[in-house]
Amino acid sequence: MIKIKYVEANGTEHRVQAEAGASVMEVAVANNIPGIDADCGGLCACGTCHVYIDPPWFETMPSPKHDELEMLNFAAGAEQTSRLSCQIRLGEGHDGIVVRMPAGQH
Amino acid sequence: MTTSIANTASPSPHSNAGVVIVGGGHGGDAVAAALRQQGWNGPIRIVSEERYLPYERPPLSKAFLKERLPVEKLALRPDGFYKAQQIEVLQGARVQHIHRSSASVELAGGEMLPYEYLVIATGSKHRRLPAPGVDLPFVHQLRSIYDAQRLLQFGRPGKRIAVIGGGYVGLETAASLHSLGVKPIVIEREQRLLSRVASEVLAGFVREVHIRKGTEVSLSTQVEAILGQGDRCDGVQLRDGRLIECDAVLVGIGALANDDLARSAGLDCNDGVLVDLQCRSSDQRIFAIGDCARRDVLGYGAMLRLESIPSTQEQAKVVAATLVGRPASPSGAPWFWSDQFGFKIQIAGIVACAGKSFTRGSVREGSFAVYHLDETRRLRAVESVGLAPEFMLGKSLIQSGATIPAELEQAPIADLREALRSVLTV
Repeated sequence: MIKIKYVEANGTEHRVQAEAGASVMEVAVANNIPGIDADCGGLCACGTCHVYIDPPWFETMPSPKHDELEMLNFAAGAEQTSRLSCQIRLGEGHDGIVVRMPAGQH
Repeated sequence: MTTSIANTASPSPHSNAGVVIVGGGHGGDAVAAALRQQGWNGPIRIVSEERYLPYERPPLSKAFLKERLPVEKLALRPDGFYKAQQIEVLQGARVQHIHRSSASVELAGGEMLPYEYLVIATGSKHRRLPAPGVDLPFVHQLRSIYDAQRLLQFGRPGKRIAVIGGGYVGLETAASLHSLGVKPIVIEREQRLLSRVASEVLAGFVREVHIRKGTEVSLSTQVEAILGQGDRCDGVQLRDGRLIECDAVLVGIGALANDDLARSAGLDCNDGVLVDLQCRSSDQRIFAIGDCARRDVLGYGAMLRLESIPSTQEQAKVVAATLVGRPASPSGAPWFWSDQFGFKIQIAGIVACAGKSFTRGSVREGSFAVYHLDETRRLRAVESVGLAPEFMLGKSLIQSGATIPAELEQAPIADLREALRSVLTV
């Protein structure tokens, strides 16, 4: 099991566990964590599962694919450590990962 | 007991009854989940006619057919979610009547379920084709898992399916079945595809894509009758005399609100339960969201019934915030997506509410965006194909109420954003 900490924009923390293979978005939806809307259900079509990944985990992730980059480049509030959480598959190396949500997804 | 400063209605006769949600689709799931997220700690019950727990419908015309996605993959939530969230789902249960005077709903078996607040999330039903033969067993619609499973029986090379209606459901299904080797024939009454929802530029592109794949697209064509007997399909008889031979028929000519319950309870309806900005109906204790609700869409000045999951989710959050007495976060521009033959179509805003338009990129290469402006050059909608940045920026610009100067119409997107950065509020 992989431990994940989600932090809402207002600082509220949610600590959950997930199996390897699930996406960061799926785990949030499965645990009803606020701040990740995931309107399109994980198709990289909407940009409403935007999150910031704390270093050092951000550095260890495979680079975003073209589709994700195109969405992120024009997402509101995008920063260096921005990712679309539907595109991040959790692996054993992600144990302890900290994921922060932006103030809004629209 | 949940405290609520939600409205000015008189105390409910059932102050511990919590929220009853009619409908176990996207809307029912979303409002239940949003209530828990926002701290509602009273009872939540979803009354669902479905045998399945809430599932994703958009893949039914896409991956479920194309990739034969297993049913389990459609579930919106993992096993145990509703129990963990203390959301009771009454599966296979139907609400027969809403008794407003006693604030309770009557189930088909006669059982009465009291509510403190009621949320109607009953979705929409397919518009019936007024033609003989429409009830024959080989005539399909696509709204549920069962419909999609039945359609899949025809998903074999060499089969021909007549698709009546060139809207998104019909076209996505045609594209998905095509990838299984089926030959679809699309029959559309209007002069172009997607006539109610897309611009001529996008509709023309979609038509080209289907024709290039070998799909027959017949515009300005009316259906006289569907012919056959029992399971034997003889084809679709057209008014112009032609007979379209096929093995099955799919009808997708639009949807109507499932608002029968609300209407028979005396709530104000007009193809959809009429609701205010908080999604509240003409009864202070009853809310409606999703395909079955008609609401003023901010910035467009019109009461619209949107068939859109993002919009349903936004409405769910608004209802939850209202019931726990918090301000709701502002809504984003409505948006929609489609996927046909690998082309990613993303639409922000409402095309029908605009006048002037211009196109960026290359329609021929399937990489373009159509911007729609009103008479003051304010951006009202962006339809993009294969150009996600245009969709993302367009959505922000629409929400900000930005106007697009004529000289920026063909500016590179980074320059467009730079020039308009000061007006971007999101």
